[in-house]
Amino acid sequence: MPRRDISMSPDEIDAFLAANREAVVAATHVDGGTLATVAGYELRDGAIAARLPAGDPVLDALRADDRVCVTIEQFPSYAEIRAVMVHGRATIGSDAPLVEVVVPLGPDVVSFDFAKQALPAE
Amino acid sequence: MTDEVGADEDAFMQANSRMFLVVARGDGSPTIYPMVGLYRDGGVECSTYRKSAKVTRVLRAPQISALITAAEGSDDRRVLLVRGRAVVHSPSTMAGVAGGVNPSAKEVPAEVVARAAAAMESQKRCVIRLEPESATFLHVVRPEPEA
Repeated sequence: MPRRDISMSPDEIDAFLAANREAVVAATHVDGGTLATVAGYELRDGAIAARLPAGDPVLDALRADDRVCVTIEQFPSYAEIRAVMVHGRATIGSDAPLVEVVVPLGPDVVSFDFAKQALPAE
Repeated sequence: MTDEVGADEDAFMQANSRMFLVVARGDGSPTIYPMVGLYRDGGVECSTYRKSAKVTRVLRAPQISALITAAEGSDDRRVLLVRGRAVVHSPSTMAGVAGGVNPSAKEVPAEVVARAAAAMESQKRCVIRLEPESATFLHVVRPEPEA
């Protein structure tokens, strides 16, 4: 039996991103491993603009390798888990107490909405 | 608790199951998997399908990390970054784990735990275990929760 498609539509993704304020921002460490942090963000002109404190190791990692993944997740209950993962290249703002990391919403976006598992079959 | 992980960090790992697994894709770029984590013997574990992309990626690049937070709405706003090496375990090496899903995790319905256990028994699922090499509470600026 084919698995049900529980991904979000582009409109659902836009609404989900607009309704949330906190993201996980991940980068590749210079040692080859990975690292991540949590940051506030806003949706602006088709891009996620996250704000990280100056000196955050994720900023250093993104300056060395600008490939980034930003994930926004809601977990009010298991049946209501929703998440959007955005992959792209980061543009890093100038140094300030909070440094902006901007990631355009490109084609490499993955999403899921567990509530769609409970919908009747189409 | 390992020498690399302090007591507070170890206690936080034990107390919280909201986890974001951060692994490298085939081209080396990072990706994130929201998971329900299980603390066991100083490490963090999660279960998944053996044929999933995340298992392929972890086997190819085992140096990974996990970001652990308290559940949504918690007063505990700390964020723990655990970095280390991942190992993929088969069910035969995971005695005592109910399908790799934390049986005490209130977030996971009983039928999901049972289904995961059955899939584990049939070898369809496996466990990704992260052996911490470091665990650090991050300095983060988080938005205040909605009133």
